[in-house]
Amino acid sequence: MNRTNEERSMLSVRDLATIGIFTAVMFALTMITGVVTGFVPVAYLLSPALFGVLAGPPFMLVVAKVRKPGCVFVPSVLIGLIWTFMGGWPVLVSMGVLGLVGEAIAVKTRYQSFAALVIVYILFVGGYYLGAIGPMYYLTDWYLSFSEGQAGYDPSFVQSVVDTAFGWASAVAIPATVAGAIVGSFFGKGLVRKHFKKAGIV
Amino acid sequence: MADEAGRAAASRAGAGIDARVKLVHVLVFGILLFVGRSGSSGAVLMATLVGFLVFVRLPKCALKLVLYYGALWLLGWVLSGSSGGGGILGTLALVVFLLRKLAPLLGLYYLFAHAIGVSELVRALSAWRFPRNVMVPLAVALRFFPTIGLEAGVIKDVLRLRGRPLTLLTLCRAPREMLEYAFVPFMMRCVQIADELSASAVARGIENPEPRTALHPLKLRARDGVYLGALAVSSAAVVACGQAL
Repeated sequence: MNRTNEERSMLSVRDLATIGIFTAVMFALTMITGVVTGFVPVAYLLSPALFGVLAGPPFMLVVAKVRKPGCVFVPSVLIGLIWTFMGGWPVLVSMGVLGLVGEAIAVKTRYQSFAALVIVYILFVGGYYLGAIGPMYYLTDWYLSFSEGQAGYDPSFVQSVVDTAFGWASAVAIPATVAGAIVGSFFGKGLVRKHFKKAGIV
Repeated sequence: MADEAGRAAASRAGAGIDARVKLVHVLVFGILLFVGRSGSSGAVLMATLVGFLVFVRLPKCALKLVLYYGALWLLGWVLSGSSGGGGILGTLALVVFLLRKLAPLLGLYYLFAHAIGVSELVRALSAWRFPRNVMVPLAVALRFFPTIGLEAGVIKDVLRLRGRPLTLLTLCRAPREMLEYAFVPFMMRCVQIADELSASAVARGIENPEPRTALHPLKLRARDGVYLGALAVSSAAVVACGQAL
């Protein structure tokens, strides 16, 4: 039976199951990197960079295996949605918007250009950075106002910690996130080509 | 027959509350967590969350949340008292403070993961007309979470048996190799599971264009109205406490 172009471009059940499983893996990686770095606020700023390195292989495998519209946007929305169900709604907003932009770029290049996929992956990890780290800026503002009335907190010390965390650390964290995403995309491409293409999986 | 079904549903965790109501609860409290600007609003949020967890028959989760929050509060109090506001202890006090502020997330996780079953979630999202392309992978992802730990554990055991244990030390010595050894079999297994799951879903009629049926159809009842009323009152209290800084 001949399938139309429209049917071929739609996500099949197999594609959806693949996206679902690898989304679960990527979401678990956001949790693991968050927990590993979460004990120190400054290190927590680097958790998206670590996520960018580790989530490269599953992301590149999903894109290489599915190669249909939705294979970038759906995982982005799903990760945001699961975060939203646990209270982290900013992740849905940022990953949804940047995931859509990434999907448009990937569709434009028909999922063939690796350079475009690197940009798409940077947007994907950047969306996570904006959603997961962005509220910390807001919380810090809240923390400063709250700590004014608390015993045991020296306002100048609190200010210095905040300045460190959101001054130079942010200046390091943002390029580190981009670098982590680039490293992750190359790592992912290498693994997919070396193991999954040879095995005939993609 | 309907009474039996109702009783069975109410006996499960969730107390028979409609999944849509619980999802609204998670979303509203998730937003309120970032709205409150005073310590009392956070405490009110925690207290009401504990109350809701008890109501949906998750007393153990409520107890864990209370213990977690209490331990953080005590630790923060000790650290802020002994640090004099600076040094390493002061930094730790800041960390503990942020963890305490985010503690309600744990309660929301309990509410989402333990009080809403995957089938319930799919029915709720179907009722909200969520697209199939989001609903199916979401259900697959939620079902797959417990498997991730099991699969990762098996791969870790195999690596140990082959003389390449996955530890912090081996990871630091040869990060690329160790990540490759861990990622490749894990992702191969994921691909295999995706194929098996899709075959199973097709066999169960996921591609059937007819509307889905349910043994326990979603229906808003009086207790859902009471729950929503309590949610509105507690949300107003959190907002009022947040404004009263």
